Amino acid sequence: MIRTLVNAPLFMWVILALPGFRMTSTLLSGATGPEGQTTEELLLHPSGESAAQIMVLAMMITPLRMLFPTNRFWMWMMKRRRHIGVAAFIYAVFHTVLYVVDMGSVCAMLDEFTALGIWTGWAAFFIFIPLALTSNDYAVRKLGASWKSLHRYVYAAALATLVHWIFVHNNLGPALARFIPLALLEGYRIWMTLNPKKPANI
Amino acid sequence: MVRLFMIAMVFMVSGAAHASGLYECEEVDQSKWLTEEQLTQQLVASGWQEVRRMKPDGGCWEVYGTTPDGQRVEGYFDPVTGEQLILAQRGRILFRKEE
Repeated sequence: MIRTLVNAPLFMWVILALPGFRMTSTLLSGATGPEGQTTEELLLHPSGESAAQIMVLAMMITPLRMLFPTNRFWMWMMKRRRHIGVAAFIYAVFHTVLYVVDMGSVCAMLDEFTALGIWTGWAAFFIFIPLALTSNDYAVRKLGASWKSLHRYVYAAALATLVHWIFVHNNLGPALARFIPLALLEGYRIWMTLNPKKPANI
Repeated sequence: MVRLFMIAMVFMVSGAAHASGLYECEEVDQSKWLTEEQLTQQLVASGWQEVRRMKPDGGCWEVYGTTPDGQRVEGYFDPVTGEQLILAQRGRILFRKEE
């Protein structure tokens, strides 16, 4: 019974939506920040962080599967990687909408667009859009081999996200704490791809 | 990539836990400070499109708002005269008072 529940797609969606429930309730309550920040401004950081963390989680699944090839949990996660990626995108949309509302005008947004911490955020978001739109069976079928090439752009988006995070906060720590594990796993993956294990000669 | 890292390190060291701390003013008794309402009025009168919020920081008034030119900035102002000391946008210095 528990197994049926946990394996249901809805279960994964609920887990992924948990940060969103809290953010939505804050948004609806109209709570302001301790220094007088508007609700939108308050939610900018948590929404961005959720988007980034969930994206990193989605990206870690393949290298973790390579590291632990018989592990059932990572196989289970692999089947749900699409949901995780799309959830990251939804948080990114939320984050972007909050930014637009907070800034209040196209003029103000354009004016700061050239700041490294800002245009990298937009770059990441614009890469995410086609990735999210092609996260379905129809697109996988229609695109064939080019689906994989397209989705490799997630690495560019991840790098842009990292730079965006560092420069918007003027702080290395939290951003690196999320991305270093991913970088290590990807490094492992690249190494494994370049050095495939050969069966031992008897 | 290494250069980016080093730039970021500089930011981290100078930025500490948050993006404030861009300016420091002489310590002046709180009773001599412009009130939040007074500084807001001054800024709006000089053309600021919006004064969102402010807080004391480094002995100055740190104001978050939108300049007459439509730029969303973080500005430090003299707490007694309301003189503009520094304006920054996402860490970029847009204006710094001549010493």
